[in-house]
This record gives sequence, C-alpha cells and structure tokens, in this order.
Amino acid sequence: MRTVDIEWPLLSAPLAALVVALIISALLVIASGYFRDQMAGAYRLNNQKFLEVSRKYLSVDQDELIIKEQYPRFVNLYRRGIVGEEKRLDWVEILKNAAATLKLPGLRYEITSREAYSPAFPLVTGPYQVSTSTMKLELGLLHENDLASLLQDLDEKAPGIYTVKECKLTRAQNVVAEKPDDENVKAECDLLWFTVSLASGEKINL
Amino acid sequence: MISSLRSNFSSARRRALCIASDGVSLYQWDKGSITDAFVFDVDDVGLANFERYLGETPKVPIYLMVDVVEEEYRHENIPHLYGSDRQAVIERKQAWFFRGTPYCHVMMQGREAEGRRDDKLMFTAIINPDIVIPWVRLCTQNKVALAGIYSLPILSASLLAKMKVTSNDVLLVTMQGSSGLRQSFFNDRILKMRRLAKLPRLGTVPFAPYILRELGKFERYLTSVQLLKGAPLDTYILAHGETLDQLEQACRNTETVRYHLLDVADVARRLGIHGVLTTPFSDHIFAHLLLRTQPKNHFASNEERRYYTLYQTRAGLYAASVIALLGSALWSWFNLIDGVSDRQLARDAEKKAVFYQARYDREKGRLPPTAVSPADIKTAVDIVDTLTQHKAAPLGRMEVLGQALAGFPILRLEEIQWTVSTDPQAGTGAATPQVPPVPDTGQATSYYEIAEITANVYPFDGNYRAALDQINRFGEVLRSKYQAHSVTAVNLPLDTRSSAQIRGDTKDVSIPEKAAFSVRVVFGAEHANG
Repeated sequence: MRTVDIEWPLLSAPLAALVVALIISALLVIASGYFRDQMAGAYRLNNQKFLEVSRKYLSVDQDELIIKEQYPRFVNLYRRGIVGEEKRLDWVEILKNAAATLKLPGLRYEITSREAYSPAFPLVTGPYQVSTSTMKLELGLLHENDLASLLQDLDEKAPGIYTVKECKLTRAQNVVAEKPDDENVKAECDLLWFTVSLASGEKINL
Repeated sequence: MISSLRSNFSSARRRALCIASDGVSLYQWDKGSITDAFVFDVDDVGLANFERYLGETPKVPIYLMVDVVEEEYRHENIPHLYGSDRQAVIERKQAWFFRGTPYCHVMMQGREAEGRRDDKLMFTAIINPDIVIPWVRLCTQNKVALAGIYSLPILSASLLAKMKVTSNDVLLVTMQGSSGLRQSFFNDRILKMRRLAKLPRLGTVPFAPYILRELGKFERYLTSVQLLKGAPLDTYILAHGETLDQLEQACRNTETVRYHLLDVADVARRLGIHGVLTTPFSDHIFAHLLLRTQPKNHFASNEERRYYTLYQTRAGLYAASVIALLGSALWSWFNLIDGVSDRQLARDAEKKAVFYQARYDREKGRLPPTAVSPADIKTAVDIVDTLTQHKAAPLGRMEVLGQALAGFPILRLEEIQWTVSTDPQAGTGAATPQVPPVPDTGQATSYYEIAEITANVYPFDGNYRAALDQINRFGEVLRSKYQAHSVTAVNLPLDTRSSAQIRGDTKDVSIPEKAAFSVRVVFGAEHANG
C-alpha cells in the first residue's frame, strides 16, 4: 500500500492509543523502577547500618579487651608526646643536659618544622597521620662512644620516638688528643622524631 | 428481498459474503461460530439492502466467497522459474486465458515427473467480474475491510482435508441453496476438475435421480479426459433428510464408483458447527470453513483489500498498545514486587539496627571513656610498634666496622657516612658490587644500613698491589665474617679497572704518604622483632 493510499483518519485513533499506551507504559516502568530503586537503596542503607552496629555490638568485648590492654599504653604514648603533640622543649632540655653530663666538646642542634611522613615500609595508619620533625645534630666528640651515650640518653629520657636517618663521623685530627675538651671525632646526624596525630586535625584530649 | 433483515444488526468479528447466481448470503461470525445469516437478492434491491446493512453494522472484515458457473479454470505447464520471470509468465498466461477480468488466481499443483520438470499450474478466474464488482464496490464505498475474494471449489479442498479423506480419486458433491449442485474432482487431494449444475427448487422433484444423472455426466467426462485411470472413484455426497434417504436407496457401488453418503448435520458437527443443520445444502459448512480457516486471498486485488490492510494495521496498532500496556504492567508488577520486598527488608534491617544500637549503647556504657575509639587505640599503638620495629641507629654497624678494621692496622679510618634505606643501591650511581651479595639467610630484610667508609692505607710503601690486596681482604672479611650484603669499592688507590684511565711518570720516584680509598658497605637489617 502506498503512503498516499493510507487514510490517516482511520489510523489516528489507534495511533493515538499507541502513543498514550507508550506514555503510560513508560510512566509505569519509570515510576515502578524508581520505587524499586528507592526501596533497594533504603534496604542497602539500613542493612549497612545494621551490619555496622551489629559488628560494633559484637566487638564490645573486643573493645573492652583493647581498652584494658592497650589504653594504658596509648595514654603513655600520649604523655610521651608520641601520640598527640610533640614535646620539643623536653628534647632541647635533654640534649643540653646530655651534653653537659657527657662533657661533649661541642653540640649544635637544629629542629626543622614538622612534616607528613611517608614510610618506605607498609604502615596502616587508619585515622592517623604520622609526622616527623628532623633534628640535625653537629657534635664534637672526644670518642665515638660519646655519640652512643648521647643516643642512649635520648632513648631513655626524651619524650618521643626517633630513628637515625643518617650519620657521618669524621676524624677531626690525625693525632688523637686525650684532653676532654678536644674533638677527635666530628659527627653530623639527622634524627627523625615521630608523632602520631589524627589526620582530621582534631586534637586528642585525654 | 431480504429474508432475515433486522433493524439492529448484531456485531460480528468477521463476515462471509457468499455470492451465487440466485442469491447472496451473508454469515456473521462471532466467538468462534456463525451467529446470524442474511440473504440478499442479486439485483438492485439486494444491493441497496446490502449497502444499508453495511452502513448499520460495525466495519468488521468481510470474506467474499464466489460459487458461480462463470468461474473458469485451465491447467497449464510452465517452465520452472523464479521471481519476476515466473510472475511475468503467469501474468501473460492469465491475460491469454481470461481476457478482461481482474479476478484471476493461479495454484501450483506440483511438477512434471520427467523432462524439464515443468510446473503444473491451474489457472482460474471469474470470467464475468460484474457478478462480484457491485458487492465489492459497496464494501469499498462503505470503507469495509474486504479480506479477500475466494473460490468455493478451491476452498472445498480444505473440507476434504477436514473430513480426513485419503483416497486418490475423489469426487466431492455438495448442494448449495443459491448456486446448485457443486461437483469437485480431486486427484491426490489436488483439485483437478469442477462443475456446477443447476438444482430444482427443494421439494419440487426428488433430488436423488437428478443428482445421480448429473454425476453420471461428470464421471463420463472425467473418463473421457482420462482423469480416471481404472481406480474406483470415491464419491462423497453431502445431503440430509429425505434427499439422503433417497440417495441411500439409489446409490449402488460398482467397480468404478464407490459412494460415501454423508449427512450434512454430521459433517457440520465434526467441523464444530453449533446447532443442527436441517437442509441438504452445504452453504453454512463452506461459510464456516471460510471464516474458520481464513485462507489466503484468491482473487481480490490489493486496491480492493486496501481497507483490510488498514484494518490489520489498526488491529496491529491496538495490539501493540495492549502489548505495551501489558508488558509495562508486568514489568511494573515485578518492579513493585521487588520494591515491596526491599521495603520490607529495609524495615526489618532498620528494626534490627535500632535493636542492636540500643544494646550496643547499653554495653558501651559499661566501658570507660576513651579519647578515641578502641579500634583507633589499637591502630595508634600498632603504628608506634611498627615505627619502633623500624627504628635504626648507626652504632651497632659502626662497632662492627671498627672490629673489622681492627684486623687491618694498615687501614686508617677517616670518615664513615652512615644511612638507612630500603634500597641497597640508594645514593649510588648503581655501582657494581665487587663481591656478590650474601646468600639469603631466610630472614626478611626490611631495610638496609649503608656505610660509606673513607680510609687510608697508612703507612703506604708505594706497593699498590699490596694495598689493593689489603682493601680486598677487608671487604672479604666484611662479607664473610660480618654478613655484609655487599661491599663495593668507590675509590681505590689505583683504579685498575679496564674502564678507568691510569697515568704516571716512571721518573717520579716519590712515594705518597698514604693511599686513600673509599668503600661502600651495605648491611641487610631486620626490624627489631624480626
């Protein structure tokens, strides 16, 4: 049948019916699909809440154990300035005291501003940010054992945890001097002092 | 004259209009059976009544069936062709056989067994189109869908099939109220010959002798054209009542003819026709057969079937609408079921969450307050533990180096540059180790302590070979005794590598006081707990 032979008035009603049917069908499918998606979303959300709270509920005993076993350590770390704010003044005082005690011929120090630390080894930080402050030490030593003694003093007395990043020991003079004020060895060491704080910037208050 | 015309025509889903020489019958079909029948005269009055009928009834399709003497046929073989070539040959033959009529039809009746294996065709046509045209024109004028124009003899083949007749040579004999005695001969269930004879008015004369006389003529004709080849002719006669009784008494089987007398009412019942037929005529049966089977059009042109095409299009559009609605309703139903199910699940999950939250809050109330959550307490402690495990200090390795150097008093230490790294090659230009790495001890190396030692061979007597030997031995001791991962010479008193350049003056006999060198020593380190 040619297009000109088509009597459109005869087809207008079924065509209109088809258009209306398609519109209604589309509306039905869209509306029902929207309802289904909304309900599926609500279910996912509520189920997630349920799983989370049930997990928390089931882990209460575990939490209790953690608080019992780990919280004292956490508090200790906080007080030592490892968790929370670093205690730079304590570091300086301990350095000075150690220099005096060990009668080091020379000790110069410089502490840089704190920076975010990216370890080369795997470290799960959770909600925390690990930061480091670099302490640069320039030492004049009568003997290399003085360096060991200084680091031991820091280990025992300084509030914090550090690692030695690099250290250079240089013979200061060809002939070994015996007087306490003489520098036989020069040492330049970089120490990284770690602090752990909340990545959100929120302060930890005990 | 209209014998059964009603002022209010009941609706029908399709209709059969049967045109014969003495009258035109119309059968209305609804819900699987014929519900009403009307008869129109073959004159202007009949046409006017038909037009009135068409105007007052819904425009449901009409199937027009013709049973007239003016339907002719020819058997012809044509070459076995395809497509437009075949169509051209057929049209040429039709124009040659039946000049001046648009109502032609051709049926394929097999192929020749031998030779070119030509196609065997039966051409048929209504040679007097004026019998049909007025009725068709009225349909078109009233925009009534004409499904097709059909030949009753051609349709009778399907009656034979319905009656499950399997004989080779069959003569089907039926009586039509408006047209007369129709005789159709089938060979292998293919229509080969047909004949229409006038019948006297019912009840005026005994039908049986008349029918048998007409059958005798047709049998003789079939024999003369050699369509009967010795096998007995199975003659099926549809009749009823007194006519059937007369035929039962008159028909005697012979060697050449076997009679099968069938009651029209029985046949109608086997075809599923509702009600009881009480006349010997088969008009109702053929109308039922036509409307039930709705065969392909025989004679009508596309132009005449235009409104039927539109009707089908309308039906298709409505069907598409219904399918779209049903499909979307079904889809929506599934969506709804899913949604309702998810809503219930969401409510259940919410209830459980609230329940566990309350219990958790109660249990949590027992715990002492902490600055951070217990999980975060553990994380913080673990971080510090890990950092502690990776804590590095130079003193241990320096002591090792001191011990190693103690075995070589000729080597005097000037400087140690110590650092840690996870890369044993850190800070080098990828220097090639002079000695291979220490075999794997099975312990994991988490970082490396790297010491770059600057020292002198002192005192130096000018013997570079001995000095290099001392340096090499020092390296060997570090490697073998102190488990150095690698020992690499950075600078040597005399660089003897092929890639290096050596320059000297034999006249210069001065000996340097010391021979400086530097060595890079790498120790693998395990963390504190490792």
